[in-house]
Amino acid sequence: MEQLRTYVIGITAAGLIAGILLGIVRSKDTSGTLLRVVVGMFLTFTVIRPIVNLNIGDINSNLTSFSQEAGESAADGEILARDFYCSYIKSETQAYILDKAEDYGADLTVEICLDDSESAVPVGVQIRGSVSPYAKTALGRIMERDLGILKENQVWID
Amino acid sequence: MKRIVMLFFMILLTTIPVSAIELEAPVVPSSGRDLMPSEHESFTEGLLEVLTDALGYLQPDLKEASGICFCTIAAVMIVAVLQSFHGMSGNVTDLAGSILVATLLLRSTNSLIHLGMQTVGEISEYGKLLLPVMTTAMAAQGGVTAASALYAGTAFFDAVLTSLISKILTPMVYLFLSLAAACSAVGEEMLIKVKDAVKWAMTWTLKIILYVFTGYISITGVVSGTTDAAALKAAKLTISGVVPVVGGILSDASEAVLVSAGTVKNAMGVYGLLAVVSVWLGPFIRIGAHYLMIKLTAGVCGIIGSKRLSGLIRDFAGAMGFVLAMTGAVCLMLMVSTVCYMKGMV
Repeated sequence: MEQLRTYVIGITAAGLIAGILLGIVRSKDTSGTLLRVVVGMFLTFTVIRPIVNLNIGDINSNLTSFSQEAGESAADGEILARDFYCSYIKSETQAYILDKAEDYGADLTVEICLDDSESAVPVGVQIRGSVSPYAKTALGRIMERDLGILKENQVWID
Repeated sequence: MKRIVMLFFMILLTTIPVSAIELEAPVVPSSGRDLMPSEHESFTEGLLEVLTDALGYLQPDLKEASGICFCTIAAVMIVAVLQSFHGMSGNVTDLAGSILVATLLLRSTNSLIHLGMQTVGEISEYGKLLLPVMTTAMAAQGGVTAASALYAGTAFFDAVLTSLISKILTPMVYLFLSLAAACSAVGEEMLIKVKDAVKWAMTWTLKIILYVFTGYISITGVVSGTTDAAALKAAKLTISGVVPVVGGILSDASEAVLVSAGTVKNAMGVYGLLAVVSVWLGPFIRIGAHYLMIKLTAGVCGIIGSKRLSGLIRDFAGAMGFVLAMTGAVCLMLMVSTVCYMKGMV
């Protein structure tokens, strides 16, 4: 950008100086023609020289850094969505189990464990509270059938 | 009535005790705080409030601009009277008149160019804070590819445009004014050509950047939007294959994420749009008032004054118009990008 700035300002300033010079010296004899040639050469040199030394590496590095920042922000969004998604599934599954437990008159606290897959399926459960053996069996069966939580992954703590 | 109350309580019972996705739009910069509407949930109402408040800025600026224009018209009239006397050289009066008019207009033009640059910087800085949160919200809604592409594109074009404005276009505005003053004073044909070339280069630089940006947004919107939509569809298919009750819960969760992220994203988008407008509108009205008054002056001077002097005033109006275009371009770019985030593309 700095190179471009120098280039554009250089050309415009050269044009301004050349224009003022030609405006002051308006003679159409040999000296006037000579001045026009010198001014023309000066302008050509100002226009062409910086193009040869142009460096476009800055643009490339800028693009890479913006892509990195974009990736980081998008990753934050995915984490946020994932956290919300998992907490929603946990609370819904918990509510489902507690609702069924209430039918059997059991007062429980439930903690759900999700798997690491993208779908975050409930795979384990830790249940605290006193419950009759009949209700325990029935609830275990419901959790296995409706929620897909295997018996060996159902931990009961009295 | 009884039924309505019952229905209300039944709806309350069905609500889910899960907090929404939490993200906040960056607070409006201090320069836009006066205009920022108190109500920013509805864009239309907020915009109306901003516009109503901003109109209050118009009167003092019009008064200031009128004073400058009055002095300029008086100066042009004096020069015209002097030129009518025999024995006064046209070149000398044009030279003196050009210096006088340029001096009269340069002070206010200079402060307005600074105001324009400050506004460009503030909008760009606000964009740097707004874009990441909008990207995060859009990615949370499932538009990961589209959000990344939008962020990278907008940040890049904004950086290019802001750098161009601060490092090249603003010095070029001053050079353009110098060339205009020199043209008016000397009347050299080559200077007029250089001045026109500078004006052409400034105008086309802005136009090209906006064209390329719009093209980029359109193409990446379609391409990345399709990719994200395919990914979401695949995720939904995976969910539907799970045990019935769990499948329902997973599907609800997925839907809740989309709705929650979408709500947050739109709220932030509306706030962001209003914040950008609040920062931009005050300076835009100030510069716009001066622009219109100088244009009017150029018209009046075209009737009473010399061609060169009225041309100089027209060029000052052109420079002012260009400052308006620069601030407008940066504002427009950020607004288009924010609207694209809000639209979602998924």
